[in-house]
Amino acid sequence: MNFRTKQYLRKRFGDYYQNTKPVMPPDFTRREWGFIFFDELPEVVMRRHKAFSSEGEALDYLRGMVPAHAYHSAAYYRFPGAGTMKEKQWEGADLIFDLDADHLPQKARSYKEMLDNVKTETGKLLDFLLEDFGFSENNISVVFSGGRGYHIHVRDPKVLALGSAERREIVDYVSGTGLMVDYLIKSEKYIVYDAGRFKKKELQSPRKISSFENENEGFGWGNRVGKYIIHFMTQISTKSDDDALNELINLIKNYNLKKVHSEKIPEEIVNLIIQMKNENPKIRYKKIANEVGISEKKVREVLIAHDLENYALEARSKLKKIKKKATSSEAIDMIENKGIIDDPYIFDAIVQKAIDENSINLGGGHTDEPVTADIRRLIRMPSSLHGGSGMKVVPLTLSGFEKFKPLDDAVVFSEKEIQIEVIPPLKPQNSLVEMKGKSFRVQEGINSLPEYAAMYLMCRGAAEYA
Amino acid sequence: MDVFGYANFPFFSASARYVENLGFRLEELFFDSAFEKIRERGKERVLSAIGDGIEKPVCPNDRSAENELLSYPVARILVSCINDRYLIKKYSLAEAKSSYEMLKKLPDAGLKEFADEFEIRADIRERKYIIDFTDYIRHASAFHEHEWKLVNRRMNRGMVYLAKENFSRIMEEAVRERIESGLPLDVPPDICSALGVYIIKIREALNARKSNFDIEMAGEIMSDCFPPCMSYALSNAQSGVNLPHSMRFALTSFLLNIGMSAEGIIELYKTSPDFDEERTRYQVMHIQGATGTIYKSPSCATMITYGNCYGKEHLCERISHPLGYYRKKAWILNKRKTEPSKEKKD
Repeated sequence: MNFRTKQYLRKRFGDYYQNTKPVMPPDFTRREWGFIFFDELPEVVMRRHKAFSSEGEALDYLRGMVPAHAYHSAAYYRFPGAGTMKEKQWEGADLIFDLDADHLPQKARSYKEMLDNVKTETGKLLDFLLEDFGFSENNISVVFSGGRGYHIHVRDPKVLALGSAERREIVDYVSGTGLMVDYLIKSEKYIVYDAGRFKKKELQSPRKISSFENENEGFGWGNRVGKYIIHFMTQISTKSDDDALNELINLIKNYNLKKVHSEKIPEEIVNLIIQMKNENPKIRYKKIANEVGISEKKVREVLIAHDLENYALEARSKLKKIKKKATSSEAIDMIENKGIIDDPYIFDAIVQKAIDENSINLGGGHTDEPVTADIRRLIRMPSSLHGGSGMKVVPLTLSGFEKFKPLDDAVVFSEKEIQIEVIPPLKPQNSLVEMKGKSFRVQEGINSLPEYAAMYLMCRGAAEYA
Repeated sequence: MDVFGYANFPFFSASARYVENLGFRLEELFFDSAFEKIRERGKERVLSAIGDGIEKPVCPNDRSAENELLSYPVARILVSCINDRYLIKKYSLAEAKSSYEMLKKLPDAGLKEFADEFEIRADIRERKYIIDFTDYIRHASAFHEHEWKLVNRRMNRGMVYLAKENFSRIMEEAVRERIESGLPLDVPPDICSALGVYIIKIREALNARKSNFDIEMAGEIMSDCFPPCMSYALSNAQSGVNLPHSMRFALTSFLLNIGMSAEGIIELYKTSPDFDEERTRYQVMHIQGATGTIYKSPSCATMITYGNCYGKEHLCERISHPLGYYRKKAWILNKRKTEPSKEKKD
């Protein structure tokens, strides 16, 4: 980003702040503020520990300094402007969720698709917040981040005082971290209607989703899992036999792979097991176990880990049962309304899949910390501009969120054509800009684009002002 | 609640008010020979907290219940005079445990009163024990068994459904937190010296207890006592694998907590692919407390959330913090060294 580009961006960001009145967050005088300026870009230098005592002061600052990025703390402090965290004296914090496309397992092919994916994920999280946690709509604010996702600010008074460890419990809840099937589903004796030759049949170990025990309908995670199971049964029943079988085989395979703890088994034994299996694919675990001198269970684990297990037989018999149940309205009703799962056809792999599909991805794996647990984190200021995209950070109500189209509604700059120079190497994801219902394909060198698209590429560092 | 209730639950605010209304000056409790029995009982409370746990006597009449109640402030004063972190924790836990035993016998109305006392929003009806989720995690996030994780509980519209035992256990934890956070009290020196004889006895018991396990954390670094997560991080750091930020923080704070010098740690990170001495020095110093906040290394729960728990093993089941692992392992190894004849399973 050269000097002229910075100057142009700064000028236009300045115009935005002159012509709009940014919405201040509640209790803004007790918050810490932080800014990143164009001058130092692409170096990221955060000027933090700022505090504002009036709206006018904040507005003057934004209009005078014109930051590339503006942030405020989720936290409330006694002395927000103090130089160290200790001196600030923490007095509580909003509960924040950061949904970022980078945290999602699916990889999108375009910016638009990426934003669609993360919007779906945000919707899933909102369901947790409203249904499971019971927050009222008035206390939830959804914000388009202006970049790759959404932020959710929860300001229910009862969450403000929660510490880091407690917030982590909330993260773990919505991300399904540490969720144990044993607590979710309880073994129970129950008479289950069976559509076979006999009208009713008592099964040895049918299982019941535990959240169906308290009220007459299920809730929370149990309800999600129940719904997913029904969805799974129905969708797999509509597929061709080959497709359905393959899906089940993969499901069982992935489930088993995940469960295997690669314990330290000497390499020569592992190699021997693999050799025996390759020589005789029908060999029994017991035979191998006797030969190499480790338990059958371990033999099985080695075979699973090296993808030498054949799941076709198991999958075929499960599929038959699933299909039979999926066509029985009584069986569906049992799951949906009573939370009763008949063991033989719904197996752990499906339950695990149900958990994975319903979990919210909030990051915090190996690369960065979950924002929610950090009670001193700065969060992008709603209604400011995002210096990495030139788009607006848009605060939304819940109904506004549903209708929200980021690539239309967060675009603030003009239609006026301007010239930019796209600098090499042009990354594939920057070669196509989709905004305001139009697509613009650009090439290295001089391009003429509407200002909003041009600013997007300049902010991303893909182009210079020409 | 009557005086017998106050004797059982002396940490209730109503219990404190009852004591205030008894109409004598608190100093008498510490200086007057008429109260010696109460002081004795106060000492016994603290001693049994160090030992096998506090047992509540059966009080035959109002008078004996009052005495039992009065021994509680005495015990708190004694603990405060000694002002030792370990004793405060141990004592708070013992008081909480003994009240759990009483709690279990309470009818639902009593449990509700208990919840109200601790500002826990609870709804008890038809043998269902339902509490607000913020109150739940406020107390349960201290427990590290799987069943206590919020995700393994039944929750609807912000309310968590519990069995009676679990509900009582939450109350117990609330008691522990209240007592621990209220200690030490600011006790005038003359009261402490008046209680000198009791304090000597308690100190002796405390030292005997501590010498059983105490490992000087500032001593030599015992790398064979590292928990598996830290060994893993350390070997990665040393072999030049780049650690994620959260793991680097965990390792650095852990090493600082067990007494390694900042210089030693910076040396360790030199093989890291993105090593920047100045930056690393700043970060290590920051964690060490250059800005006034001294960071404690993250607990197991935090390590798990951030995906940094590696190689969990048997001993990990018994601890909730990597530092706890280090201490326990050192204790075990030390014991093996000093008692070679005794074969004991760990």
